[in-house]
Amino acid sequence: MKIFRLAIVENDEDERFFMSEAFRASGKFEILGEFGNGDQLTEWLHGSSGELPELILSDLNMPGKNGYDIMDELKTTYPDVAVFATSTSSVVSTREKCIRAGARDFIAKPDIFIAYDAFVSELYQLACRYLGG
Amino acid sequence: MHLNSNLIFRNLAEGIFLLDETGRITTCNAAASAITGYDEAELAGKPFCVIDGCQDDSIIQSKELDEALKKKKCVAEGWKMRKDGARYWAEISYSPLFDDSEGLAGYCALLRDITEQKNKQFDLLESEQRYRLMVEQVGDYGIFMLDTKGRIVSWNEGARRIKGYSAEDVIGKYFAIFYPEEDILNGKPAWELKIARSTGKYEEEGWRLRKDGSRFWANVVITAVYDAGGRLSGFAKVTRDLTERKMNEQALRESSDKYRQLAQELSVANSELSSVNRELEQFTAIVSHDLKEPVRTVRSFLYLMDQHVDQQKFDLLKPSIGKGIRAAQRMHELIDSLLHYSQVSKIGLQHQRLNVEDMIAEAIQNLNDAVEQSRGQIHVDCGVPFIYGDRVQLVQLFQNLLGNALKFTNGKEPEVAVKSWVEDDWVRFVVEDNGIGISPENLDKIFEIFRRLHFASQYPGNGVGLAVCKKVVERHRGKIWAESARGKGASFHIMLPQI
Repeated sequence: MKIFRLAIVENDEDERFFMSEAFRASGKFEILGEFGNGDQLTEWLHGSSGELPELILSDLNMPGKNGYDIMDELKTTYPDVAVFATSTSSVVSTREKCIRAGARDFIAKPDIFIAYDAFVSELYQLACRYLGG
Repeated sequence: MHLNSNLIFRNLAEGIFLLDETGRITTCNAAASAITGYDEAELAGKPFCVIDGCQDDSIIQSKELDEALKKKKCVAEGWKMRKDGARYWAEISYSPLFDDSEGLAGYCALLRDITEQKNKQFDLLESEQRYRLMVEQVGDYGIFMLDTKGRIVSWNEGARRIKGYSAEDVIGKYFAIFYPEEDILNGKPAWELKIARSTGKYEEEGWRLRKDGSRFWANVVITAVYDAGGRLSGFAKVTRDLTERKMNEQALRESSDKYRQLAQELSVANSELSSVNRELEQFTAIVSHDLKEPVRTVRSFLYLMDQHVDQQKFDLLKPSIGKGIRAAQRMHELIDSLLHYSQVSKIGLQHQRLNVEDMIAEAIQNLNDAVEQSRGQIHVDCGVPFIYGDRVQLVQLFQNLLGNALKFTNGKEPEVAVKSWVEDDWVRFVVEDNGIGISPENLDKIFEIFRRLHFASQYPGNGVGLAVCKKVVERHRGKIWAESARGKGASFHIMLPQI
């Protein structure tokens, strides 16, 4: 089974905690880094000499560089890294906007952040589809 | 041969007749017979009226002779008849002849055939007559003559139709009667004649008055008329009534103005709709993200606490409750800010004359606690005493900008300057600080609602302040932008219309 290298960008610490717990528990992802916003992420990417993540899961609303800024920036600086956007929005136009901005796809966050299991499975399927299992 | 008066008699081209005191021809010269067609013998003894073709010997009365006797001279013109019946136009000059004792000896009549001259005159008269008739009958143009002083001396049908006056009404009147009062007060009629006199012609379109006082739009040409000697003899004035054309033009202009205005209104409505649309989109984004997030957090912690209770892990409850409460608190603040933001655009905007120093002093007063806590210095230097706008909103604007200037300092003691001056039709305000500054890619983003550059743990806030500022400035038809040089703080620039 393919294990994807993942970076998580989410400003809410509690949310990020439960999110990464679910990813670790699944055994399908290796979390290379957890960040509070785009500024922290890009700083880490630029400073990193090791392996890059295959995919980045990014929240949209964040202080400083937000999800859209990340998609916009990585499109040119790290075009090989797939960005998946997520947020509480269930509005169709949000997904369209993200894909226009450069995201591979958009996944709505679960209703409560202590139930990320289904979300993790969905992202795994999408990652396999887009990046090859 | 000696030069004597006989030579005159014989050689003169004019016919000379000597008449006795009763008016009968006693003798005549060769020219006389040539002109009349009678030889000398036929004429001798005949009354002078023979040259009129009169064959009656007894008629010798002549009023010309009587007049010549009375006035010493009489000149008469008229048709005469030659012996062969041909007519000719003659000028005859009669002079009485007196003898040494002042007694009437007879008369001398000098006859000249001036038919040719006369015919030319008749032709001229006829052509003049034709032109006069033509001018008089032209109905679409008012054509009339003025004397050198501007008094009307002729009047045609067109003038009567256009202006409503008959010839009797206007002949002899000064032509200013056709001008509206304001033109007369400005001396326009006399000025027009002056131009025509100096340049030969004056032409214009303007309002003129009819006899009934109504106005018509006239095309007017005044031409100076000179006599054969080059002296000004008067002015010809041609007037056309172009009221209908003028009205059409006006109607056209009005309708095009109306369409332009409609198009403008449409474009305004369109841009208002677009901006409402954008706001709606923004609102959707706000509800789906910003408002949903804290609700979801509260809900998540409630679920978590439920699990804790199920698992009897009561010691874990307390932190979850705290986080739930904070999320609820945040929710509350977000809703308040959103309401505040939407109020800025909904409440009717006041347009008051505001004292700029008072306005900024009020904003500073509202920030009293923040000023004291940060130990900040605010220098106000207002070059503009007054501005027009909504006091509550403008105080809010400066309060938000100054509040930010005091807040984003990274621990440094804030130094803030507020300046204002007039630039063209605008009043420019600058709020300048010595704080952490803003990186160039964020200079525009900071005005978006709920947009934050920093974590709440570092600089608390909800991302509404500058969005409110932008809204306030836009509602005042102004502009706001930020400038920042790395490490040198930030300055916020506001342009508001002066009125």
